[in-house]
Amino acid sequence: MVHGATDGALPMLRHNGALDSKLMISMHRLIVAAILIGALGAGRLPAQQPVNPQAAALKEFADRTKAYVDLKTKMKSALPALGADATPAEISKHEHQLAQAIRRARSNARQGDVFTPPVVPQFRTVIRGDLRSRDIRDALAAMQEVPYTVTLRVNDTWPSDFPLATIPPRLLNNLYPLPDGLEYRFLDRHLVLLDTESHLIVDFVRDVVPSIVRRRR
Amino acid sequence: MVRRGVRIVVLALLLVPAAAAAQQVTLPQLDGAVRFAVIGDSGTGSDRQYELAEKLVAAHAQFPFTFVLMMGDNIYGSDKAKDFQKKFETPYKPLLDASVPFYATLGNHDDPNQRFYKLFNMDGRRYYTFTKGDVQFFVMDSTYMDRAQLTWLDQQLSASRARWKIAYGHHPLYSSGARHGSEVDLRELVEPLFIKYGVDVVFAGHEHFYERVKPQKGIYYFTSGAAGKLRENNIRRGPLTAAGFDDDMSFMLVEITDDKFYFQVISRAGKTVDSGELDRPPDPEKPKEAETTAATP
Repeated sequence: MVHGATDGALPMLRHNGALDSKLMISMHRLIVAAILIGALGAGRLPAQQPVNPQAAALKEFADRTKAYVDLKTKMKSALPALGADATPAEISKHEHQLAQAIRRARSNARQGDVFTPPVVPQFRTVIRGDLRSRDIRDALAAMQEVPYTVTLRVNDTWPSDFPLATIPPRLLNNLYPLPDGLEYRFLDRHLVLLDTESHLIVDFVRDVVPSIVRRRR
Repeated sequence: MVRRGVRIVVLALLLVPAAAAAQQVTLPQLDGAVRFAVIGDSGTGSDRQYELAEKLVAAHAQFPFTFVLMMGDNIYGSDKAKDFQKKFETPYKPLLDASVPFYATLGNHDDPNQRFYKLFNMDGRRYYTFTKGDVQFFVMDSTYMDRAQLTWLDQQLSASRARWKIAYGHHPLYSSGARHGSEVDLRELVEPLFIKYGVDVVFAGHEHFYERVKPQKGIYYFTSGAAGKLRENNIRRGPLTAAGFDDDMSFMLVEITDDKFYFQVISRAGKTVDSGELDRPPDPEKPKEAETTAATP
């Protein structure tokens, strides 16, 4: 995924006399405005700058993942820390308590809270583009171990008997980087944002994987 | 009836020493060598895992390896406290009691929180490195090879001055397995680093059999993923395969000294199914700038 890339959709300017003279007037106004701004406060930027909507959506995604991690850190700080000699029972208890605390704090969490609608198309494009770039055998192999499931809910725990199928590394490296403790995983045809410490499903995007590479058993 | 019984007893008496003799560790056991065992995909808790574990313990009596590498899928399925006992602590108890440490990597069936489990010696890290004598090990989390891990691998390999560099992770970069095969995606990202920094040997699991791959770009590759599960007759012997064993479960024993790598692979029946001696591959050529810098007073 390209970070902060422009979308290249600049408005086109037609070359005719009327437009040229309008353009000259606009430019003159712009120069005057720039001088005034400069006089009012050196280096101060205008309040509204045009923002690439794709970059803005990614920024929003990054902010939301960070907000989740901050929340988790806060929840963790209220729990007894895992010692270097932690037993499996203590590890399991810690995981469970952390999941409970996060669930309580995010009781209103819904699908789309992190993968907001404006960012979803970018994920779809990258994932589908990657799978399309592979031959069908390779694409099928990449999805071979992804578990099938029927229900998928935010704040549910990743089922312990489901493997954590590998996201093909080339694809993974084209997805937006995540903060520590969060991972992308596939579950059936869906992209899941997984908290690896609490095993909670933080959010997901449905049907990002084309059905052609998901053979039903 | 009596004669038949006698025959069985005689046969049993003949077989017992034969079986005991079958598991002969033939590694040289040289002074100062680094000795270890490799197991992969072990954590099923099945009878077969226990049977192979007994052979591993017996091998330790003959060849006192000082640590064990785990190739992932350390705990399949449920991973409650009792599962850690059943699928790890009990079968390998004699080794744990003898203070033999296990160094685990994560497989796709493992809960990443296994990294906090003291007996896996991961110290809370998903990928890490440790050194034993002349050998530095680079333990990857091949289930999630993101940019952060690639950067880490690059930095660690580049900083290493170890004579032997051994990398391991769950997924094999080269494999003749019909079920999974080579992880070409992963290979595309990590192999250039292995070549650049002179990794000598790479171990993996995931495929439930043993395979020694013909050296690829100067690197030796082994798959040892049959310590708890077996995928019978799954090796499609082809241009990659130097040796393979998919009839039964197995583990590896390794001894490294100076520029020699000795290995022996033992099956659940106590049979040696592969063994050999490899020379350390030559170091990669240093870039010219580095040579110039070294020559500058």
